[in-house]
Amino acid sequence: MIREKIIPAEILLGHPGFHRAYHNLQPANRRRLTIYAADVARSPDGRWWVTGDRVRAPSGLGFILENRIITSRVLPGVFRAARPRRLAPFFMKLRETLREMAPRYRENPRTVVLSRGADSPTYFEDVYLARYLGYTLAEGGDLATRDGRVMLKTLGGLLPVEVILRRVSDDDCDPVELKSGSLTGVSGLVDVVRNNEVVVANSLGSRLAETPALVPFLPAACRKLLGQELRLPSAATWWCGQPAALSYVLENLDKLVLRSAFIVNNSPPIEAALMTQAARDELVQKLKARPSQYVAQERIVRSTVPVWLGKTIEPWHSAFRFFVAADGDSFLTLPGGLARTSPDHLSLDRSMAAGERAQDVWIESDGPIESVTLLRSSEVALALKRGGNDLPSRDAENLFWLGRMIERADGAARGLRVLLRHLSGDEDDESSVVRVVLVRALASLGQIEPGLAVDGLKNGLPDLEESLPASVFSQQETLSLKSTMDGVARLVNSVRDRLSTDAWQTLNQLQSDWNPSAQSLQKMDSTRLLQLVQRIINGMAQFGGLSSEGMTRTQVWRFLELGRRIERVWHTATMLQATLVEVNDPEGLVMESVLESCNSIMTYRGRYLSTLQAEAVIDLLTTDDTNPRSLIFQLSRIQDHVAKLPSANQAVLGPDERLAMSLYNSVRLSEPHKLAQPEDGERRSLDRLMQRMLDQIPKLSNAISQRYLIHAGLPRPFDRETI
Amino acid sequence: MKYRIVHSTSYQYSDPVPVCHNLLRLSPRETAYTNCTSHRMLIRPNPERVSRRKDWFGNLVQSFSLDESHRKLLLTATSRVTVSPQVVPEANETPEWEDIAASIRDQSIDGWFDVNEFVYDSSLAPSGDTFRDYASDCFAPKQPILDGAIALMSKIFREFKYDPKATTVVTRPAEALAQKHGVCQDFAHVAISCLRSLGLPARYVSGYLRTLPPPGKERLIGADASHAWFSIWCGEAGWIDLDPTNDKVCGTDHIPIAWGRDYSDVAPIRGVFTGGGQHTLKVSVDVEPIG
Repeated sequence: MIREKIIPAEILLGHPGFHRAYHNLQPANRRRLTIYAADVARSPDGRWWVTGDRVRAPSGLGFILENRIITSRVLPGVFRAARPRRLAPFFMKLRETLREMAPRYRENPRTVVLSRGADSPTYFEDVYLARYLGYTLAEGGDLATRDGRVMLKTLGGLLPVEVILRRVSDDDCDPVELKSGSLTGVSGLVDVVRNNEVVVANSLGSRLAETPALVPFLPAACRKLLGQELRLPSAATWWCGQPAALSYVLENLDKLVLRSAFIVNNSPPIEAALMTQAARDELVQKLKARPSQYVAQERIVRSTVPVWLGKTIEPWHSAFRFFVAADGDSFLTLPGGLARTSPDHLSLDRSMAAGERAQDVWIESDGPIESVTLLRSSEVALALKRGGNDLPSRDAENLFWLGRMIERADGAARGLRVLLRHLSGDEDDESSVVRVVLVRALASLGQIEPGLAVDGLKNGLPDLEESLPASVFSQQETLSLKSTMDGVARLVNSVRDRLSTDAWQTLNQLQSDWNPSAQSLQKMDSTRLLQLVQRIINGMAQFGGLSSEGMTRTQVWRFLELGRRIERVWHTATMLQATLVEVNDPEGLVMESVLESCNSIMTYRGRYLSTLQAEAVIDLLTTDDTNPRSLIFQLSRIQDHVAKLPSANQAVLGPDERLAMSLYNSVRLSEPHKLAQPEDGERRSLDRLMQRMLDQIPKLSNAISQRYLIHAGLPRPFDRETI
Repeated sequence: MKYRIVHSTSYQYSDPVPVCHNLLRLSPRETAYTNCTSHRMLIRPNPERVSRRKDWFGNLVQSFSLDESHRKLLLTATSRVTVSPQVVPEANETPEWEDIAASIRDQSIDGWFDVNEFVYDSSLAPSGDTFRDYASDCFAPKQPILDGAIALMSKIFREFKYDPKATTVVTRPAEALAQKHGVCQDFAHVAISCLRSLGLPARYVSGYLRTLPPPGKERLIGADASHAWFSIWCGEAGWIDLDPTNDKVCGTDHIPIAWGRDYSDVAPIRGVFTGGGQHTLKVSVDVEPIG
């Protein structure tokens, strides 16, 4: 069509996104577009206009699914009466199409959704879509090319991938042959595609099809290719690379909106009508200097839809996104869509994310509603399965750290709760002893700056009470509760697809507490802080219950557990070393506080009533294998878990197994009586045992990382010779 | 002229590199006047396979991956090339430059399609007013195109200082033009940017240059370097290669490897690796005339 001058050559050959590697990347008869989305506007006269084509990795499908679930739940009566057509057949077709494109294992090819990761604005959708379609969610770092194939890095080793549904922009898919320095892709992917060993949908390079500069030439292209007119016209568009178009645009600048001719992103269009004279003159200069970089589009006046605002119904302007998926030689349209609404019709043109509200678009059914489900039909017998080893290594790593962070937050919160209660209590000899001890313990847990702890005690308690919130909310201190909760937030989003919705929500709800405004941080006092730590304790208990009762015992659960157990050993050992090594007089309140912050006070009282003795306390927290908070209990579970990790069944123990066993034995062989025995005012053997825990636990954590969680690191471009 | 060319590149790393992926454009290009009679690529550690293909521009690309851990990567390309003198038209008989620009813009000349993409901006050789102004005295109205291009080449040669320390990997031609210094790559990019600013098709050529030892001295082995120059399309006469670093119309001393819109299309080695820590790069090129 370029040779026949239907499409100007510059739109392809001068396109900054036309990496020459896209040329001849796949057989000419292979499908290039699997998913297409159209941004559509309806004008007040009822006509529909396409305002943009989207083929890179169009977002919206996840939102549409979620909207549909919400509307059907909130308006069940209306939903049934309106009989909207189901969305599931579309997704089934999409799955079938992807399956048939696989270069091999067409009956059940391994398919991954390649996501840009938890920082990307569409991550939520990626997770949702992967789950709904039953695919593995992967990031660039989870995939590698080996022996001419794309592999998924899992705990059990590398597993070949046949189909990649990408949510990553074309140019970012391979730093070797496409945009160098990009970290979201898979090094060497282009070559694997070229050798037809993996299929990427939409095909690499398909972004050229969404080029805005192509729009004015679509009617002619349609006549040429299909011998017919466009069924749905585009909004009138001018590519300024043509002199006639440029002069029209310059004459009618105020009536048009300008965009980049080649690049589709979320940056707003240029609106000359809203500019100052100086800015407008500058724009005209730019247009004249590089006309081919711009397209101008006529603004479509958008019709309105009724929007319920709680008390009134108002007419708001609307913008739509509709999807089609490849179906054999044709395409299947999603019977529904995503609508954005806004009282200000200009704002809807600005970006895909613009608009105040989203609405679910229903297409009424003519006939009976198809009853379909994405689960396989019951006629095909399923092979029975148990949790396998195909957990991506990155997920395992994130779960392990999530376990550690959750336990760390819980431990810190419990310690803080005890201290805060004592701060508000009466001042007497025993309570001042316990305060000193607790401040020291919390400094060891990283909640109070050591220097601050000393000053706080020197200058009296009001000072400490005042500075405590700032210290707990410190972002500099890596162990502070704030940093820990930030870690939980980051990790919980990265493994969102591995957690149940309830478990995810439990953790997510805590986040707003830990991102206070500067103003409310200023006003934070110990009463408020006590509320916040109480909420963490409740939330973590809830999460613990959900994970112990709701998660199957797969490797997902095992890594989460390992993280928690390891962190709990660290917490208990830190507490014991900071509080009970030095013998205090009186010691009763100190022991009670330790039991409380290690969540064992009820057990102790149940056994010994109110008699507090060091030996009994130390036994309960270290060597008592019936107490789920004791060291021995954690170490026994750790030993059990590392033995059941993949590839851990060889005759020779791995370093992680050896460390776990030796830690277990050193606690198992300790006598509570000796641990509790002071020499010159110090419990030396307790100190030695706890020090051993604190020295060895990081080594155990590293040994597990080394064995299962190691990642190759970020790809770097080669230096080049200077010439 | 016949040459034996040995181009060695070694990467040495302080930490092991578990994985690397590479694309090589180190194989001299076959053209109407160059004939590559043999080419051997030695890669250590030895990859399981090296795939070969031609890229969009027709350059030979070799690609390979290493998944075994290594601390050193050695690439040695050994080629034998015969170069015949290029037929260069009389510069003042070539078409007027405005006609070439117009015939490509209007797509009215044979071969416009293949030449077309070299008119447009590329990432390392964009057009712009400063480039057009710089070239304007070389391209007077109705100036024959090759005349103008040679004048531009000479102007760059005269006015720019050759200074390997002045530029970095990412020096843009606008900067090189402002500073008036750089290396062969910068000179080529500046020339290409100037020509594109006039609507003329220009491309970037990477290759080797035979260097003559100073009188009375032995030729130093391995002291040569990769080289780069530009090429201008003159209509019927085709592409003519010009070397602004040496102010020369390319003859049998220039041996092309690859061409493209700019350096990024023809980088001799491209790829990524993981790990590696600190690393050092050593390159040696030897262009030996063998009769």
